[in-house]
Amino acid sequence: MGKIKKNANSLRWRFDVNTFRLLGRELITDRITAVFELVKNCYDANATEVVVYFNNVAPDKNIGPEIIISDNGVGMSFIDIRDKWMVVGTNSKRTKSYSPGPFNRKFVGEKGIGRFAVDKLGERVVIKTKELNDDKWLNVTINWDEYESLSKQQAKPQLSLFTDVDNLYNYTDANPNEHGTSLIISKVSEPWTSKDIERLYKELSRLTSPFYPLNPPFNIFISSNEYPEYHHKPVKPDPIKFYTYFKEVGIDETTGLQEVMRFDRHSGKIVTELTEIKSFGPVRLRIYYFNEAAKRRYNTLYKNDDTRIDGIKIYRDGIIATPFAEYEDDAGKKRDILGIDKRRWGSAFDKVSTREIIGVLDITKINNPKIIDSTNRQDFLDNPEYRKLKEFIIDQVDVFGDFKKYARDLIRTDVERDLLKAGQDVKSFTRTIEKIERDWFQDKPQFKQVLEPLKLQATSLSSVISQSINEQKKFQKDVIRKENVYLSLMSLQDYAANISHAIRTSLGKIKRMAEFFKINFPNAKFDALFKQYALLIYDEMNTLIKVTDFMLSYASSDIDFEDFSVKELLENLLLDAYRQTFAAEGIKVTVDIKDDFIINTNKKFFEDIFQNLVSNSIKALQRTADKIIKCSGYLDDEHFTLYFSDNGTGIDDDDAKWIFGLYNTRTSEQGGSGLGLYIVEKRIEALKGSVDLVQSEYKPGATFKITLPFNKDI
Amino acid sequence: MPAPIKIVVIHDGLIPMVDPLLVMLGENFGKENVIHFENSNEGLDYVLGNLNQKMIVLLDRNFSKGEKTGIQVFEEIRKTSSLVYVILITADEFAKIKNEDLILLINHDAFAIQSVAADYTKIIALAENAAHKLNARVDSVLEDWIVRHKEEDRSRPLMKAKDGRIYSMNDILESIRQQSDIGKDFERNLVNLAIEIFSRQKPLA
Repeated sequence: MGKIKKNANSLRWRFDVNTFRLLGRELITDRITAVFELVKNCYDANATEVVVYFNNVAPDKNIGPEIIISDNGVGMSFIDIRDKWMVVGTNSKRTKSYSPGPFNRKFVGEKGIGRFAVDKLGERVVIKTKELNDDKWLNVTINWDEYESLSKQQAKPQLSLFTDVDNLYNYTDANPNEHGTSLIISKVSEPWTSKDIERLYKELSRLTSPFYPLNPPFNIFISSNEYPEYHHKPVKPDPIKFYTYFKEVGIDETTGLQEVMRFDRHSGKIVTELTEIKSFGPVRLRIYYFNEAAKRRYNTLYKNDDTRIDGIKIYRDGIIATPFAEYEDDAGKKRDILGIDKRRWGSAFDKVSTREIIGVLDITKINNPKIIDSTNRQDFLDNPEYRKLKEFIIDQVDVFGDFKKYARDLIRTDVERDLLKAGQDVKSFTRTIEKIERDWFQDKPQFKQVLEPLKLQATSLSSVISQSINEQKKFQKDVIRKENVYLSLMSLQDYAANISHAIRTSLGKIKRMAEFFKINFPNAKFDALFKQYALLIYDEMNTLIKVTDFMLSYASSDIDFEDFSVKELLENLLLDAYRQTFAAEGIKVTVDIKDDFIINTNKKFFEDIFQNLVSNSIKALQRTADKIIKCSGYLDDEHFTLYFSDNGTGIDDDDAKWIFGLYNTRTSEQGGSGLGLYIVEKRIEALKGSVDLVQSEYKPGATFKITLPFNKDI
Repeated sequence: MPAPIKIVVIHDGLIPMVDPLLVMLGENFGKENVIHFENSNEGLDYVLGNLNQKMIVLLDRNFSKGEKTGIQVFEEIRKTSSLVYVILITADEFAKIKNEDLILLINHDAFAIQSVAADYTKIIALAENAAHKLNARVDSVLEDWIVRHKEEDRSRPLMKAKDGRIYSMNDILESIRQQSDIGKDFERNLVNLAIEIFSRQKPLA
């Protein structure tokens, strides 16, 4: 600890101006985060109550604006202020994780940044603080504007890292039982509107879990002498209303097992199942799902502020753990720590996005010790347990995706059923009229005249309904077609990245050889090379033509279905089209399709399945010496079965289902985007077939079993 | 005549033996001095095993088949030596190179980055530029001077440092190559001495 000169009433800090600048001006980027940080520090100081006062901060007020953050925490001693509060790098929070007993709160404040947040708010601060049983309040005045001018003086070529700064302090009388800290910030840098305070309120309302009763409590109040709506207003989480569906899972009391959510197709509800406690420990999860109408209703309640429905937040012992204070006006710019929106083609694929759910996941420091804050406290430490926790959350969010799809299908089938029924009703109406005409009014032309328009109307109604049914069917087909095109484009994107590299390499070779001709021809010394280059250019061009043909097949607007032989297609694809790729990668390919099978679908989409399986295998085979890909198939009584195997690194049994999820990948380092197997599964599902990871044919290795039914009706 | 420079090409997008780039590098630097590796691991092994030679590495960025990436090879080389000039030749768009890779390349003095689709004459010009710099470097000039001496002379004590340590020609070369304090000092003094000698010369009439 550096020596500090203690004058009669001034406290001298040796101050690192550059750190001051860095932390104060760059890390705390906005005012709301600044206040949020300071309130978190109150929590760390064992406060049970904190009040944020805004006095005279409205835009038109020029006299004495002030922000006061006042808590009843443990307070600071003279030594604390001298040695810790302002001295960067001696943060007591770095060595300890918990606040003093009996509270033992897990520290939530950033690493010594909170104090610098004061600077964001105003240029002068008085710290008024006192520990229990001290008989006086200690008041220290810090003038940031003075630091600023000092630091400017120092921005000379010879940089001196430390500046000596004198700060005035004095003592005032107090009741020995009082304790706590108040930061009285003046020369406030910017005015605060009611809207600004509302944003702060919203952020602070997320600090504590809406469900977990904090004991001892931590109550936050906002108070303003200008905005009547903030008259000592307690900060409480928003009540969650108007949601479409709510589900909560925790620990089953009788068995001690972890409850998980599953969608039950029969009842159309999300049900609870039990499973072993996961590696990350027991958790409680609540998810509120909002469909479009519910979202609109909920957002209307908050003046169309659409950042209220904001995904899953994790609370540890009732205090927000991640994402930490994250003030962001634009919901699209929010960080997606849990990776929920990474699956961003949400609505197209019945995935639920963070804009459709509010979720709270409760963990505790005792039960979930492996979920550890990362150093920057903006996320958790990346370890196997946290990865599993993320997967767990996404899996549970996906349950709501199933629910969403079910609800959508239900509406669709209801409409179809109603249309069909209307059609039948009209037909039976027509038949009844005909019967009446025949049985009762055979010889009474005057009645026939009355019935005739009815008959005509019924006929035209019937044709309108038939037309509607056809339109409805067409529309459904169109939806499927669009989804298919979309999937095909997504796989193309992946493919294009690889192929563009190959094309550039190829073009590079051709260009160099052409350049060689340009510069050196004729030259007898290089005659042999000229001949060789001519042949090589020819070969390279052929390769390029093949590659571009393949690309062009995507460009064709033809997405019609056709009959083709699976055996022929697989042999062409794996033995011819991919021959060069396999040769380059050193992969030996076996195709053994015993029986032929004619299928009616879009050829390109069917090829996508194998293109993705192949690219998956190539990644898995990177570290294998004798690389093998094998595709075998046969017919049995009801199905055509295909096995696709490689002897690569293989896939964990635990991941057997997970790998088919959109954006789920274990090969992101090798450029895996987590699209491939998703596309494979969707394409096969579209053929009413199934794909599963089964016992591997090679050890190590992976084998996918694809089963396609005989019924070619898609 | 300076000692020959080895041009080590670690690239899987070139036609082995006959690629015009290899042929023309051979024309410029001598066929026997151009060594081509398609496998990045083998290329790296060669570089690390021959650090006593003057070397320029033309390095690809992407290698498949579970080999080290160009960036990894570069990092590995830099862990041991900062005296090998590395020119990155990539088929990717530069915009696709990750920022942290670019920062690493700049901070560790990659000599240049060039597209594989660029004229090979440009790539050869870069290699020649690197060769010129390599030959003009103090350690290279010194090496050229040292190799003109007999082996027994090279290990004989030549100078005494302030701390009393005795240095032979080989020791001096070694300390410059490793950029140790004494090596840096020696380098600086040598350049100063050269300038002084120049300045003592009488201007030509």
